[in-house]
Amino acid sequence: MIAYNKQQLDNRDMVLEAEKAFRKQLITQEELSNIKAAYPVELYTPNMYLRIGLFILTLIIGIFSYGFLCLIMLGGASESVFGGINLFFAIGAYFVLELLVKEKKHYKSGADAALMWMSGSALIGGVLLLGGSMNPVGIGIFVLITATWFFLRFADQVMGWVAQLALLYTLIEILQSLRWVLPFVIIGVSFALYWLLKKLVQEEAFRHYKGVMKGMQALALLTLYAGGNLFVVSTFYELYYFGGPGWHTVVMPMLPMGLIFWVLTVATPFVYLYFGIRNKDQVLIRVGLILVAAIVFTVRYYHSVAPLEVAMTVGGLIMILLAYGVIKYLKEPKNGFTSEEDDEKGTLEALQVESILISQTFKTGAPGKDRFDFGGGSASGGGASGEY
Amino acid sequence: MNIRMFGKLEQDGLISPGSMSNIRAASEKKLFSLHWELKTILYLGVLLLSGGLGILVVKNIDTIGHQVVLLAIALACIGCFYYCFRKKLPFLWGKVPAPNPFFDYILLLGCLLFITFITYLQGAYGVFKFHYGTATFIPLIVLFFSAYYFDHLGVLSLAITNLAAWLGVNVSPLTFIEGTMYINMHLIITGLLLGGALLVVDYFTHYLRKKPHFGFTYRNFGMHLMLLACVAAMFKSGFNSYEEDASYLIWFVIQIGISYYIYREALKHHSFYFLLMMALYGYVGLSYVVVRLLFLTDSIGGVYAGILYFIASAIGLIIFLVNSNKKIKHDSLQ
Repeated sequence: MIAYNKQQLDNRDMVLEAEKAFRKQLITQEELSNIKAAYPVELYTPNMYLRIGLFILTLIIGIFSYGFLCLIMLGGASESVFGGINLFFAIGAYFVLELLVKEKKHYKSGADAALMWMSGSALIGGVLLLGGSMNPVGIGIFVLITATWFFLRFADQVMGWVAQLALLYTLIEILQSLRWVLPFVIIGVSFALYWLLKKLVQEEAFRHYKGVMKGMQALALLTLYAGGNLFVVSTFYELYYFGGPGWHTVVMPMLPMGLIFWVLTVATPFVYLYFGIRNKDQVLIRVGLILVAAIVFTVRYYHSVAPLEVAMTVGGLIMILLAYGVIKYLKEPKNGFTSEEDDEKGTLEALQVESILISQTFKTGAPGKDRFDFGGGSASGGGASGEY
Repeated sequence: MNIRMFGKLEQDGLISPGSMSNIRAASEKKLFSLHWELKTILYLGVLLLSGGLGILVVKNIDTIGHQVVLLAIALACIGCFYYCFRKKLPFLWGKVPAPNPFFDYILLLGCLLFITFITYLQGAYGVFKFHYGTATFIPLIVLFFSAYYFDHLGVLSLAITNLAAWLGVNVSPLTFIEGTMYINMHLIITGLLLGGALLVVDYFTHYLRKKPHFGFTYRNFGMHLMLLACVAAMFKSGFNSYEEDASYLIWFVIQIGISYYIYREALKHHSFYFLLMMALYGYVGLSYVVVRLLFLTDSIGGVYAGILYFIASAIGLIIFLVNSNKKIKHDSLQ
């Protein structure tokens, strides 16, 4: 099923492991080069920046080729001609993609992702144009099939996510008559998906999908939470059954078992964190931490406990103290946890992204020449007095 | 660490039994790292706290009184700097590691509080009267001093941003994309000169071997400023002018010169990031020139030629980037 040479993928895993061991000084330089010689890797996976460059440029080539096709063919423009162009373009892009993977041995090079996206979206667009008025369920299923194919064939992260979301979308469309039970269907399906992915990750046969499946686990956990989050659920009902926002007052009292959603909103992230820490599962811990923020937002949306700035200050203080406490506590590793870096080379720090990031997030920290009016300047005392 | 994988390697005689026992020992006492999570919480905490305090101060300025606020900010700021002075490792012109995981964040918080303090002083009392330059110049000195003295890359970026603000340029690329930046010739020239100065500083950082690891940050800001200035000048030459204005060609030539310098630097420092950025700015510049020239033809053939140009040039750029990457050559698979 997978498009890549399995032997090559295994070799790649082996060399990556060996490089990791070498960075931790567990094996010698000589052993590393022996391993590299014994497990040659021909796959083309350039560094992150080149990947971004290849992605952008491949998109440019694709889009202008598409434009060129349209320019030549659109003499008698009709929907079916346009659909035909789309299908032709989708097939062409897919053909190039297979060629890149088979002949040039591209593996997550950026170019393959761009071709995947273009091929997939052109295919779906073409079918929609030719098929006329398709019902939402049909569209959902078609997207699901297309994305699943790309996911299985190229082990692509984004396509895996798209397939997951398409599945949930299709289910919502099919089961909309269930109404108040729908959130629990989403929760159940997400949980089943998570459980399935968790099992499959350990299977030898699916070893090439390991990293991708971890990303999909994270999304399954997020959709599971979304299914029980009060804000998401009530907004969904407002939009879906009552035709627009502003039906807040109608929906809220009608939500049966409103208490259940409150409990789910608040408890789920902590359940994630509990199991994450108990089982030392990184995905659970990270998703759990992100969702703690979701609790705060949800609670603040319905009950304005404190003004924003107080919440920010207190929250910031709590976070600093929490991190400080945990780092102090883990100074000597306890129960198998450490606050020290693991092998994170190749991630953010190695790319020196930090210095770029900080300048972006703090740009308002640096006052411009004319920014002394304190955003309103209604301050008493001097203030921005005079001509300013 | 996959023990079974290494077991196979040992069987094949690719790693020695000694290394194998190393790996076994390492995987037995393998610890679960919370490093990334804790750092993120700490960073967000610093952001939220300084942001929240800022808003708090602005909103309650009437009720709590200036002295109290100023005193509180000053005390917190002094506390942060006191901690940094006490904990820091001896100064070196090379890279100095942080003494503990909090050091960097406390320094960052201290610097942000200092900026708030000075801004507040000016806003509430007008201490610097109309010498707005002075009000930004003092934090500038403190930031550069902190960056060098405590060896902090984030504070250095903050300092450079502040320097640009002092000169009247908002460097952040986002403001450019959002179109909120008012572009005039004065701004473009300032950006070009500041960028050039930063590149010179980068050169001397390496040449004199004074904090050479700061070079990346200087070069990064310098490159973006200069190339952005060129591209902005080219795009500007098209606006508001009905008669043909050929000044964009001059800017394009300047851009080629700068790009060549950055290309050489990128190869020297084995940095693909700079190569890619240079190439993308160059691509935008070249495409602008080609499209402007094709407009002169004023025919449908121009549209076809334009589309073919984009396809061919993107292919050409891919070939250039892939070959340059081979030149820079990373041995690792990542």
